[in-house]
Amino acid sequence: MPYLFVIPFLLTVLSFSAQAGNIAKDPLNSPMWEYLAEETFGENATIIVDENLKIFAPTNAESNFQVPVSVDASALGKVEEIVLMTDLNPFPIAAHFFPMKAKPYFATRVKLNEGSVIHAIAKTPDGIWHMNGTFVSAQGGGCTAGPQQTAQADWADHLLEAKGRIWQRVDSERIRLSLRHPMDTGLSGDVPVFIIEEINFKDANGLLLSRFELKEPISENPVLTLDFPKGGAPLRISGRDNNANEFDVEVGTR
Amino acid sequence: MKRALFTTAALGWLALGALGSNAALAKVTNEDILNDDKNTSQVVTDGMGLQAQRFSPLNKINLKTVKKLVPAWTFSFGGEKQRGQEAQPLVADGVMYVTGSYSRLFAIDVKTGEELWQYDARLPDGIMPCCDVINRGAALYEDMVYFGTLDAKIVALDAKTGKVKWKKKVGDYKAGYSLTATPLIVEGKVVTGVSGGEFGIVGKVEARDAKTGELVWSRPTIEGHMGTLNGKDSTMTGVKNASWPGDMWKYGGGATWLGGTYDPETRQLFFGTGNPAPWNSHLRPGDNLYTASRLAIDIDTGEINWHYQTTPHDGWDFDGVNEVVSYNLDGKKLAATADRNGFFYVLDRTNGKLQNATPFVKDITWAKGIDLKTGRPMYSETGRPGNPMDAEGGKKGKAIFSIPSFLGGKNWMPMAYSPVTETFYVPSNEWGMDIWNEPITYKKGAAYLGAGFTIKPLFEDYIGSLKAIDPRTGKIKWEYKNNAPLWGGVMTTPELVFTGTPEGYLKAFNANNGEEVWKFNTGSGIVGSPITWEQDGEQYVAVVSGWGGAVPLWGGDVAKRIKNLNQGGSVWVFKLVM
Repeated sequence: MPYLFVIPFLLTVLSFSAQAGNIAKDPLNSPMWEYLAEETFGENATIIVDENLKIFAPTNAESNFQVPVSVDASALGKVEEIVLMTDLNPFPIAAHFFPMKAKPYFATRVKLNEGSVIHAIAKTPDGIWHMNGTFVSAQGGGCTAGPQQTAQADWADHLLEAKGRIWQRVDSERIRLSLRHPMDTGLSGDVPVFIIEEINFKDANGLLLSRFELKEPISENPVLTLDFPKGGAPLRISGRDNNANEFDVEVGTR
Repeated sequence: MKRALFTTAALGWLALGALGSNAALAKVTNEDILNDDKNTSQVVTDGMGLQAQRFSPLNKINLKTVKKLVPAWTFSFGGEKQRGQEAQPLVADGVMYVTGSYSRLFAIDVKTGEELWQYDARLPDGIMPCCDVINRGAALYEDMVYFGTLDAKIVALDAKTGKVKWKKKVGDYKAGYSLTATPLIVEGKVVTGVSGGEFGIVGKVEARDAKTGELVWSRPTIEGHMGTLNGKDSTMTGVKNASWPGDMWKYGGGATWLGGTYDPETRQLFFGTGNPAPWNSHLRPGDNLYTASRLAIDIDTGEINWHYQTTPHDGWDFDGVNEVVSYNLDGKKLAATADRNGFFYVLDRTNGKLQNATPFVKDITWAKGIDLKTGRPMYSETGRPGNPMDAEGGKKGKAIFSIPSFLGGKNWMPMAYSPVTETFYVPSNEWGMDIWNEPITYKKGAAYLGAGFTIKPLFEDYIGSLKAIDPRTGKIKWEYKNNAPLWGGVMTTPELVFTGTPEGYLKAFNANNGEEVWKFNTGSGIVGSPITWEQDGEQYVAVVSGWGGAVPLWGGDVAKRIKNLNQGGSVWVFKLVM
């Protein structure tokens, strides 16, 4: 008896999932884009190219280990999540940013294993992903060569030391945070993957304001810049790496 | 194209991980842990049961069938980190959990040998393990798997995904602490010791809440140090300066580096303690409690119920860490332990009173025997290395030749007890050492020995010696001799005794007479402990292979017998071919 109900339901599901997704072609022709987009967001995702999403990175990377990238999705209005994708890295996803109370803006640094398109993909509350990208020319080796810090015998002494400050801007409070961490990708000789996985920003009462998830491509000794509405300082910032080493600092204006 | 292939492979691996996480994993309960010696479908404790008898009633692999034992699968730990593999694998709900050298933990599908996940601790450059970068195994409780790391941390991971749930520092690796023993999980507490006895650390036993890692109690092993319970000072260990001169107790050693066992019948933890520091015993007259001892500790409070010191005023590095195996015989609650000092002890485990002590290696020099009335050794007058202060210039004391060597009549490698044959199967070594004392002062993070030594074999044809010992009399029923020193654990079933050799063989012996009935070469030396379990109606045997440990680092003249042994790192699983 229940089968009568189940079969039509299954048919609906199947016909729905058979629908082709709507993933926009990459104007920069990154060879991995469609494959990665489908893997990351699912084949049914709707992804549109949107020039209102700004992504800034140098045309030429001076160092493969530290390529500055900033993403500004303010023009999209409310944004739920921003994904940073370094297409040609062995681990393409660099970060997931959940702005929540923060502005949909961040700046950080990534490693590039070779010249690559860097994509930012931002999700608005209507479920649509907005995509933009920029090409960074680079030499090889940013992810597979060991970071400078692994060569230092005392890396463990300074692990997860944090420095941060809040600046008052016209319409926001800008926080910049830097952390000591090797951010090993696990691809250089005999050094296992060792990365900070999450950074959480909280107010004085412990309420979660924003969350940033880091992946292998984020540079050694990560830096992160976010914008919060005025009146939030000081902030409590905590996080941990994949070995469960933790940090917890208060950052104020100075 | 090459690039796309690489990425696809990476994603394929992720997908496999997801698959593993979908499989419903039954939780390992306290009941599972308490009954591990009876439940043959899994192995969820080190020692195949909390009492650590390493006995399984499974008998499908027996004297008749063992000839048909063949490999089912093998798994490589990979990488360039192939050093000593001293782990005992665990098996629960179709997953094997096994640790490798350099603080690595692997979860493997026990049907196929495929890896489900792997966790590699990122180790600081400054770790100071004395005796190779080994790990002795993991522990399971609820939905978590636990292990210790070389930088003296205890890590709890999600058993399904390998993601870290919590990590706690057990000691300061820069002061010489590390953690290589298997954590012991009892009644929701994870209990650990600590390594570092060569660096003037202070040994301790600690219990943490297994769910959160919060410290419940801490019990230092050297008298004069304060214990804690629920975040407050509890009681001092012993009486300060009762058996230590001056400030020597502050860096007194007593490392609990081999972990411990638990007896559910008397609700006591049994932890052994290592050598007093420094090795030069002339600097610390007295018994030096509680070094070179066995401690019975209350699981709830961390209080010491009783202690038995095997080597009072140890001057030979005869750690007292070797495992205490609980067993019942002739209506008595007993415990046996085979010490580094060459004697096999039987204690009443309710009160620590000595029942019997017999030598299990030949020609012991340091003591003439153990006085059964007082429980103390009868020291040999010429058996202790000389005081450097009595020597000309005060630099080097009189050297002596001592049996056993400091690597012991038996070292860490666990013995097994069969309630069927009522026999202990003890992996031992026949060797001695030249040893002399030197002046030494404590410096943080530096070796704190005050002694020099060279290990020497005693016999041309063998060092290693697997012995079947009758615990009623201490009589040796049979002996298997091995060219290289034995360094792996023993496991027994109703008819068979299994152990590995540095030459690479996993061997099976007739439990009654020691006849070698099966062997298989695993490609590298075996210094881990075998297990057996049953699944889908078939009996399996598993052991890790990978030569290393203390012998190649400290072995002195033994080097000749081991120089051609190559390193490795793998798990071998065997079953009967039909």
